[in-house]
Amino acid sequence: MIKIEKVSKDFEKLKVLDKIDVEIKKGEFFVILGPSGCGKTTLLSMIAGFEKPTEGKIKIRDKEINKPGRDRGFVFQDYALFPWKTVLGNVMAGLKGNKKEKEEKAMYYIEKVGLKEFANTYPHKLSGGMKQRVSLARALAYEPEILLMDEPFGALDAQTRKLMQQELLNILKDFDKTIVFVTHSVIEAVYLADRVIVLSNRPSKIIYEEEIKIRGHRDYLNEDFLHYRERILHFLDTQTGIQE
Amino acid sequence: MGDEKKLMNKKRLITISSLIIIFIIYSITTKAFDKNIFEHIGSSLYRMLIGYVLSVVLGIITAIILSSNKYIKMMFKPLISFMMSIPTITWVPVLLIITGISNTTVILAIFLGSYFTIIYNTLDGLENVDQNLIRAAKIMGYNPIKILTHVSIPDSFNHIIVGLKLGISYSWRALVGAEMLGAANMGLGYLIFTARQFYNLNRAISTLIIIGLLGYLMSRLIIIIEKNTIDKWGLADD
Repeated sequence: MIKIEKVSKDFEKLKVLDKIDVEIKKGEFFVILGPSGCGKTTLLSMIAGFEKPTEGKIKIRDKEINKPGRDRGFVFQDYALFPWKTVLGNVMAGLKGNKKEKEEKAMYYIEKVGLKEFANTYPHKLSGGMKQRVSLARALAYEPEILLMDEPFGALDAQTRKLMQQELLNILKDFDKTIVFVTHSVIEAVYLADRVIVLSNRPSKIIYEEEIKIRGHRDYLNEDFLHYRERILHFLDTQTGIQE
Repeated sequence: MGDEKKLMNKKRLITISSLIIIFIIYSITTKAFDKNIFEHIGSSLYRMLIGYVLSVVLGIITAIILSSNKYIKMMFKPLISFMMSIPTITWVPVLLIITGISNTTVILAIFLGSYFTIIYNTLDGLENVDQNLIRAAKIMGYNPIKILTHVSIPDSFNHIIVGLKLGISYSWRALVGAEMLGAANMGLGYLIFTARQFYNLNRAISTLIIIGLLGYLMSRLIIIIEKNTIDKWGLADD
């Protein structure tokens, strides 16, 4: 679905990404894990088409990306909601068609994320978790195939964060999306992912790749969950030893 | 909070309306004005409306054009700062030479009073648009014009409002100044100036109060816009 082919990215003389080569499959929940300051957000921005690779190519369905487009949705860490629009207005912002159709569709997604009572509220009156729900609804509403999420829960407190992770999986169950999710939390990565890659410090390379297969109910105490978490944490420990 | 605001609004209303009542009694008992007063007010307001609206529209358009290109902006920004530091009243003699004693002269003075301030503040806003909002719009497929009208301009509104607020008071000053310097033979500035020539103290003071009241009401007008936009959107603190 998404092919990242030997992608490197430099900012001036700083090399951020070094020959990243990976393919993301259709319908997959793909998590990019990495330390702060590595190029994980940059990589996501390039998939979104906000930035261009210095070298290499990124292809979606074998077509090279050169600009942002409606086949992708993006959820920002800082929500990026339009402050002058209500919740309903924000979710409608990406829709096409006549007003009534747009409203109905937007309301469907607002209900999905559990914000029906807040449809006419302005974003600045909402909590962080609620804002991120709006952002998710906005990204889902125009029905892109791919959902790109840039540390969406990074600004939330621990409880809200956990709740949002559960809800995210719940909501996405009903849609057939390919998801690329960036985080620096190992727990979050293992909890959400079908597959995880770990990026190194700058210049970032893929240093680890793992398919996450959790049998039974996904929660923080599941045996498989703990197993994967330990493995990745252990691997990161050895890595930091080498890096520093 | 809401109650406190209501109380403040009530007090403000009491202050302003008692001022107006005292003023009306004063100007009637002293026979400060003849019937022409309404024509003077009317012609000043008419010029103000045209000059100010023109400067808002053209000021915002100019800022958009300037912000479209980095180099154009870099070239013109110092010029705008320079124009802003010229007191508007000093334009009046220049305009009098070019356009003579006419409505045009007064309107141009009003226009120049706020035009550069509005450009400056709008540019400020357009430079500080949240880049993630633009990215969000781009991925939803907005074209550059839709990004401008649906993202950049509304996100600049807190800066634009500052320009509108400063602009309306600068323009009002410019209007009175231009009328006083003989650019018109109608209007409040003209009225107060002739009051002095006739040694009519009551008329001079009454006119002064009218000028103050109208200026105050105009700035309230912008505050009403502010309350219904950036206050409602939570943009006011940025």
